[in-house]
Amino acid sequence: MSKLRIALTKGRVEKDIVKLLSRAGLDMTPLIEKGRKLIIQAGDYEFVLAKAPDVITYVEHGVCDAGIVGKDTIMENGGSFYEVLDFKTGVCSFCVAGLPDTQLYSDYRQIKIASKYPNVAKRYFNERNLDVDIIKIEGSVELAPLLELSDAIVDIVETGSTLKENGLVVLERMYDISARLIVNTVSMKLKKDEVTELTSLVKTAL
Amino acid sequence: MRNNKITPVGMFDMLPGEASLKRNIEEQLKTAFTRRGFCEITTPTLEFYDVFSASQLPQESMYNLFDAQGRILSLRPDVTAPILRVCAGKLDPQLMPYRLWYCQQVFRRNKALNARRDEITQCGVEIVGAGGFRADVEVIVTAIESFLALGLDGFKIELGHIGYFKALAECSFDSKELSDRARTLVERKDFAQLSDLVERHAIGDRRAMGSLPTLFGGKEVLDEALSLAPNSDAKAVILHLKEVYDLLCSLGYEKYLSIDLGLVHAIDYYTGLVFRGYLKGLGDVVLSGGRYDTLSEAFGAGLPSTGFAIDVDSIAIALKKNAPQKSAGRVLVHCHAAEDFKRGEEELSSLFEAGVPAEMSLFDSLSEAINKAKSGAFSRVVFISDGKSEIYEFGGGKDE
Repeated sequence: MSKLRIALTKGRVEKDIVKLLSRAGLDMTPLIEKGRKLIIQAGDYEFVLAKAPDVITYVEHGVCDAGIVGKDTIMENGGSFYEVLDFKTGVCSFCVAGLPDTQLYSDYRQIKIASKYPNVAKRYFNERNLDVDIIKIEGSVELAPLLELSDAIVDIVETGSTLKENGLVVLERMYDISARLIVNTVSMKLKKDEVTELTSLVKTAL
Repeated sequence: MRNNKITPVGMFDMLPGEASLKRNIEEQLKTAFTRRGFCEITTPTLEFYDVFSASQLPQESMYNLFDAQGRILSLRPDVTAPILRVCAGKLDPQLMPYRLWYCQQVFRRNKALNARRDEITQCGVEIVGAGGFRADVEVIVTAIESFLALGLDGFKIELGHIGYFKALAECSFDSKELSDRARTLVERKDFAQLSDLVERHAIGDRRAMGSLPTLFGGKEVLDEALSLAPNSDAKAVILHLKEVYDLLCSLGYEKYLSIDLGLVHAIDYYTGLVFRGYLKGLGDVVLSGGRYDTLSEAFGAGLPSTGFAIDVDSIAIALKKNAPQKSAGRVLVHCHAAEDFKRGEEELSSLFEAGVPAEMSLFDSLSEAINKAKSGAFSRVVFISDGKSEIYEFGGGKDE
């Protein structure tokens, strides 16, 4: 029997976390040599590989005890769970970006923002008492201001090189994001020792 | 497209089996509540929106509509507020404290495509018009006894107290905004961001606030919280909680109890001791309750109150996992002709009295009845013809 079942975000978060947990002394080879398997046993833990928003869903419903997912996904999707640890990996930030001479607040007209993260964008501008039109874009959001669909975009910026190559700049830094450990509210209580063991293990590698 | 063959999102049919399992739970809870002197109350499904405005529920989580005068009505999202409405205006104050139980549907909108039920049945109790230690104990004992009445054993009732966070926030933060931010972080057990916030903005003795997300577990948590308590308010809260906890232990309930001082989810609703119930194998909280001394002010009364609600649907799911799939031993009584029905009815009542599930056959011929039984629906067919009865058994392949 595994101590905990952990939903892990596929892709970059997965790579960072495999490195970090190996550093903490956990044998992560089953995850490195996983092939196409989606449920993998590694030491005392059972890892479930999933897309980021699904990690939250699995944890919320309690079919996974814990999950490892980016703060960006947590902010966009919300939900009720405990957010107990910051892995400090995959550090980047939500930014408002646009063409260099963009004056977002100078006019009386309604601001148009394109984003893959409509909830984050809406929240940010609502916190500033601004009504904005949000346009949901599925990918390559940089296109929106270039094609004059929107005044600016809200997106994750890591190095800023994609922005730069397309002639865009960061207008405002919004929120810092990184990978987080989330825990189902019931598992936190009924498996307290197991969760504590995992968090202290991770802390040794931070 | 016509939608006459499907149910709206969040609404579910309860099929035979499920429905009777759920009804059983309701009956057992009703017995448990009645045994402790609670009386049933029912309130309307539709109420004015205003009844719930003090309940801190987000507007978008409610099913709202308009009455003929354009006033907002709500499908009740919660039973506590309507009960306080009744207690504040309609009940004889001589009879206080009121001990009431209810078993009603509540309606809440969940996120779409989430398989969550928007209509759930809540069974619970409210003690209205009683403050203090004894009512706090009574309501928790009732909660534990309810779970035991359902034959559940792998459950935990977790106690907390809103007053501890309030006392800490008051001396650590000098603005409502900061203490709200801290409350959200405590609720999410976000250790990292909370210690960051405390580091940067807290004043005075900040140790207790910084470690609040870790203050959950067994009895030792109370001792730790007491030693960390920065002021007399916080100390008083812990001493009250300890008194309740110790009394419950002396009643033999220790193995069902735990503590979480980070239970701060509905801080503007609850005013004192709060608690939640968890069940092994279920990802959701199945019982929640606590003391809400100020809610009745919304109805012009000052009634200190406490209570809890159990989510019957979740319990049904948990019990269904262990329940046997089919009730074995059903009997089909098949009468050959009209003159055999009197004898058949007698057979049916004697089976009923012996506690054997039985039903009258609706088939036209014995062979149809036997075929049905062979398919697994019945383990015995009683065939009545000319005043005599023959028995066909279909349990372990015996066919006679």
